[in-house]
Amino acid sequence: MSFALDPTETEILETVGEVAAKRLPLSIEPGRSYREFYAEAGELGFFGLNVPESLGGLGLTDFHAGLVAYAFGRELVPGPWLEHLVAIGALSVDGVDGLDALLAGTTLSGELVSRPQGVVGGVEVSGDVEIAPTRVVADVDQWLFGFPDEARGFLLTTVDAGAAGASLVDETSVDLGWRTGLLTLGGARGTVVAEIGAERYREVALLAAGLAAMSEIGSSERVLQDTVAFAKDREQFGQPIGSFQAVKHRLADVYIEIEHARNLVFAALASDDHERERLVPMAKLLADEVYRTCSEASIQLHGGFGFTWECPAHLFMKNALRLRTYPNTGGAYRRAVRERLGLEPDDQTTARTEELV
Amino acid sequence: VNVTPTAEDEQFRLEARAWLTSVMPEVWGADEMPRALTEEEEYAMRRRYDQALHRDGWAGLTWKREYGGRGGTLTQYLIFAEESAAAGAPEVLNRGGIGVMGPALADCASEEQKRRYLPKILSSQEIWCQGFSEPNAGSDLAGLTTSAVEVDGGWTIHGQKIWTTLGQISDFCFLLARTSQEERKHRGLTMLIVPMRQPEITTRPIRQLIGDQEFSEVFFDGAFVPRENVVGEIGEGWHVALVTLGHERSTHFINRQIRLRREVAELLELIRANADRLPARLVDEIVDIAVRTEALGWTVKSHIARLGSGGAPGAPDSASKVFWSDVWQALTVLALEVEAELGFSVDIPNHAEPDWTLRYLGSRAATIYAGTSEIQKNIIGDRGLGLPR
Repeated sequence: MSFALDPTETEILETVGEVAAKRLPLSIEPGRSYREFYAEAGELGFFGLNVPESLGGLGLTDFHAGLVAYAFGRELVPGPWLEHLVAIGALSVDGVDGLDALLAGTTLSGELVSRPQGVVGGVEVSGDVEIAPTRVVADVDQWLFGFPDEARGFLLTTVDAGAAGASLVDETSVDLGWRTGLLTLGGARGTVVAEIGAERYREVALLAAGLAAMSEIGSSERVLQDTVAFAKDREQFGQPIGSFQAVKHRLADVYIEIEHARNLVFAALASDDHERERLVPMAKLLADEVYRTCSEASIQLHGGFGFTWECPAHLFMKNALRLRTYPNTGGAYRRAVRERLGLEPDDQTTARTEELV
Repeated sequence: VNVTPTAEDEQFRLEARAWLTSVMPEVWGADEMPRALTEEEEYAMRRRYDQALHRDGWAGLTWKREYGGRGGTLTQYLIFAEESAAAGAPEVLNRGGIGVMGPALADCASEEQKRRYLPKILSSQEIWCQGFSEPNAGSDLAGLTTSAVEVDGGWTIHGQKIWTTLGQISDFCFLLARTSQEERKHRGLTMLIVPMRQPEITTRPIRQLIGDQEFSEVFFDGAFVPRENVVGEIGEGWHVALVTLGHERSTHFINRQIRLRREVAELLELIRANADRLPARLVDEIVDIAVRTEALGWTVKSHIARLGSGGAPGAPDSASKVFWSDVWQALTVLALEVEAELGFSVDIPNHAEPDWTLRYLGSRAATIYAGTSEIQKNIIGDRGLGLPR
C-alpha cells in the first residue's frame, strides 16, 4: 500500500502543473479565451490519461486523470476542463464520433447533464431535443445529455452549441473561472452518439465527483501554501504574523483538514469500483467542506488585503462555492452516505441511489 | 498510489482474526465482554492478554526476531490493530513499553541493552513507565529539573515526575534527567533506565476525574542508576526523547485511531435502531463523524506506508493525533445527546453498554496527553509549514 505518488504519477502532476502555471498565472481575466491553453493541454494528452489506447488515450487509470484535476486545481485553471474531462469519460466507448477532437481539446464539451428534464425525439440516431431551462457551462462547443431509456440504458446525446433552437441565457456565475448559463432547447437537433448501461453511467457520475474532489484538494493545498507564504512575509508588532500562535494554529488546523481529506480522496479514486462507490460520496463531502473552510481561513488570515479583489483568495472561495454543487449537491452525497450507513428507511433507498447519477 | 491490499496481507488478516477470536474467552475469563472490572482485575486481565500474545507469537509484530518479535511489517501491525479492535481485544498492559519505549530502545540503545530489556518488555515480565513530564515541565518538557548526578559507578537521581502511566506497578522507568546545566535547556539531558524497585523511589497514584488511578507521581530521593543504564550518549537525552515521542505519536497511536471505528459503529447501531425517535440533526452528525473516521482510517494507512518505507514521524502524525482526538470527543458528545434523547441516565456507571458517559469524560484527556493539541499545532506550524517560531 502506498499513498506516495509513484514516478509516473509524479511526472504527470509536475508536467501538468508546470504547463498550467506557465500559461495561466493565477489570475482570471473576464472575457479572455482559454482555447489556446486547452488545445495545448489536449496536444500534451492531459485529457486522455484514463482513456483506452484503442480510443486514442493513454490507457492509464482514473486516478491519473485525477492528477490532472489535482494539478489544475492547484493552479485554478479556468473551466470548463472538469466538465470536459467528465464528458470524455462518458464518451470513452467504441464508435463515438468526435472523441478525437475532444481529446485534442479543439472541441470543448459541457458536462454530462444527468436526467435532463425533457425529451429526445426520434431516438434511433438523432432527433429534436427539447429541454426546460437547465444550468450548463458556457464557452463550449457542445453539450452532452444522458437521456434514460428503459430498454437501452442511457442515450448520450450531443447538441452543438450553435444549434438552431438552442438558447443560452448567460448567468453571472460567482466562480469567475467558469461561465455558466441557463440552456433551453426547443427542438434543437441532437445526436445520440452512444448508449451506455446504468452501471457505466454510475461510474461516470462517480468519476465526476472524484475529479471534482481532486481539484478541491489541489486548490486547498494551494490556498494553504499561499497563505503560509503570506504569514511568513507579513510583519506586525515587529515580527511575521505566522509566528503568533493564533495565526499558526489556524494554519495548522487547515493543514490537518487537508491532510485527511486528501488521503480519503486519493483512496476513493484509486480504489476498485466497488470500494469507490462507497468512498466517493464521503470524499466529495469532506473535500467540499475542507475547501470552503480553508478558503475562509485564507481570507481571514490575509486581513484587510484578504477582502480585496487583488488578493487571489476570493477566487478560490468562489470556486469552492461552485464545486460544492458539482456534479451534485452536498445533500445528495450526504443521503448516499446515510444510505450506506443504514440510516435511510428502506423504501427510500432505491430512490436515493438513483439520485446520485 | 496503491490502496489495494496484497493477498499475503489478506491471509495475515484471516490468521490474526482466527487467533483473536480463539483467545478472547481466555483473556476476559468469560464468554462475553466483561462487566466493570476493578483496577486490579483489569491489570490482571490485560497481563493475561500480554502473555497470550507473547506465548502465541503475536507480540512485537514489527520487532526483530532476535529480540523476541515477529519480524513483520508495519502493514501487518496495522491489520492486527484493526482486527484487535474488531474483536474487542483489550489494550496490552505494558503498552508504553511495547508501543513506545521498546521501539525507542531499538533505535537508540546499545546492543547489550536491547538484548537485556527488549524480550522482557515484550513478554510483560517487566513493566515500563515513562519519566518525562514534571510538575513544572509539561508542554515545556525541555524545562525539566530532575537531576542525575554522577557518583561512583553510576548516577543519583533527585526530582519528581508526574502523569507517569502505570508508575505504581512498573519495574523500570525511562527517565529523562538533567545531567548538566547548559545555556540551551535541550542540552544537558540524558536518558536513563531506572530500576523502580528501590526505597529511594516513591510512587503516589493520581486519581483521575474518571475515578481510576492509571497515573502516578514519582518521587526520586537519591535513587541509584548504574552507569551502563545510559541510553544513547550522555547529554543527548533530548534526541532519545524525541525519538520516543515520535513512536508515541505515530505507530503507537494508531491503535486508538483504529479503535475509534468500532466506537463509531456502536453509536451508529444505537442511532439506526432509534432513528425515528431522534432529531435529524443528530443523525446528520453521525454522518459527519463517520466520514471523518473514514478519512482518518486512510490517513493512518498513509502513515503506515510512509513510516514503512523509512519515513520519520512528523507533522502528518501530529495532524492525525489532533484529528483523532477531535473526532473522538465529538463522537462522545453526540452519543450523550443521543442517549439523553432516548432517556438514558447519565449515572456512572449508567449500566448501558457501552458506557458513553465514561467515554465522554475519558475523551477529555485525548486532547491533552501525548502532546496537547496546542503543542501538536506548534509542531505542524513550525516543522510542517515552516512558520517562524
